[in-house]
Amino acid sequence: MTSAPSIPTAALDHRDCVGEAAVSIFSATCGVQLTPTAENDTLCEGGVIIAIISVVGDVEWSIFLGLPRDTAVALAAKFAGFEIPFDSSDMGDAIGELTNILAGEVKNRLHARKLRCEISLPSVIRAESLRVLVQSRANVVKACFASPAGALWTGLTAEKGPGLVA
Amino acid sequence: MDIHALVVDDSGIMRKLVMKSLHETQLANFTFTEACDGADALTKFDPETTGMMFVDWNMPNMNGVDLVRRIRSSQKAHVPIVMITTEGTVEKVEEALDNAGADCFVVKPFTADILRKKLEPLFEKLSQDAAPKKGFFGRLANQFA
Repeated sequence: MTSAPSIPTAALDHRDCVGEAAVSIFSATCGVQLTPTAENDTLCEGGVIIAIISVVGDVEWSIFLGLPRDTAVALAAKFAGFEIPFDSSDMGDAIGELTNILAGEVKNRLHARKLRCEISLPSVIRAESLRVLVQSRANVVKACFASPAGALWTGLTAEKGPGLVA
Repeated sequence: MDIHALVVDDSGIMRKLVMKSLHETQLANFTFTEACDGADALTKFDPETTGMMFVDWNMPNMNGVDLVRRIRSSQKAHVPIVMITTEGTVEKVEEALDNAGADCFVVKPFTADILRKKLEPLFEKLSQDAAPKKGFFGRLANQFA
């Protein structure tokens, strides 16, 4: 088996894969339709859970999925088929798995564009108030969504490489 | 048909979803043992009682495809192994099925209907293998089965 040659890619080219994958997987796993909305900085206040997965290969990304408390409880129940308290270990497990499925779908979409990458296991953080800080040289893209289960957001960070537009 | 299945996934929620979906397929009367990664699965795999395995790919300690290779290299009996994973590229499917020796590949997310359609050929083969063989040589084989 021979692998296709790598295609050079700018750090945030193909970022549309993340939003498209989110819409697809939340429909398939939770039966909810995501609608893109304007950026909302209040989504990390009053209880939030964030899962992060690294993507390495032809792209070097970190993918974030952020859910306010009420959204997390509603979506986790739809995903698992039973109620999961926000503060339980099952909640971290459920959101980690949703993020794993999201990253897998992103990987499949990148692969369809001849980009090869591997994904890490998810890390999950839960807090009452949380702000994501990234390295100053990293590119950051955040996409907010509304859904019948509540608001949520996806984030994508990519390190700037040589030759990129600042 | 009674099947005791080993469900291997580092997510407890995902193990529950796999078990719930398998019950919903109504392909067999399933009972389960759970394992949280490949290394845990190796300690819980019993060639006498494990009738089928459902294995995630990305797990800590030992990943799913390494587990499949270990099982295939160490066991004479061919326990059916189903990979259930987010890894859906052609290369990963080939690696799991052709290289490591899994029997079936299911991409997450899935529903009980998708699972049933994927597993039906496997269960048809299991039913054929379990059916008493006819004819002289068949009866002879049944005696030594």
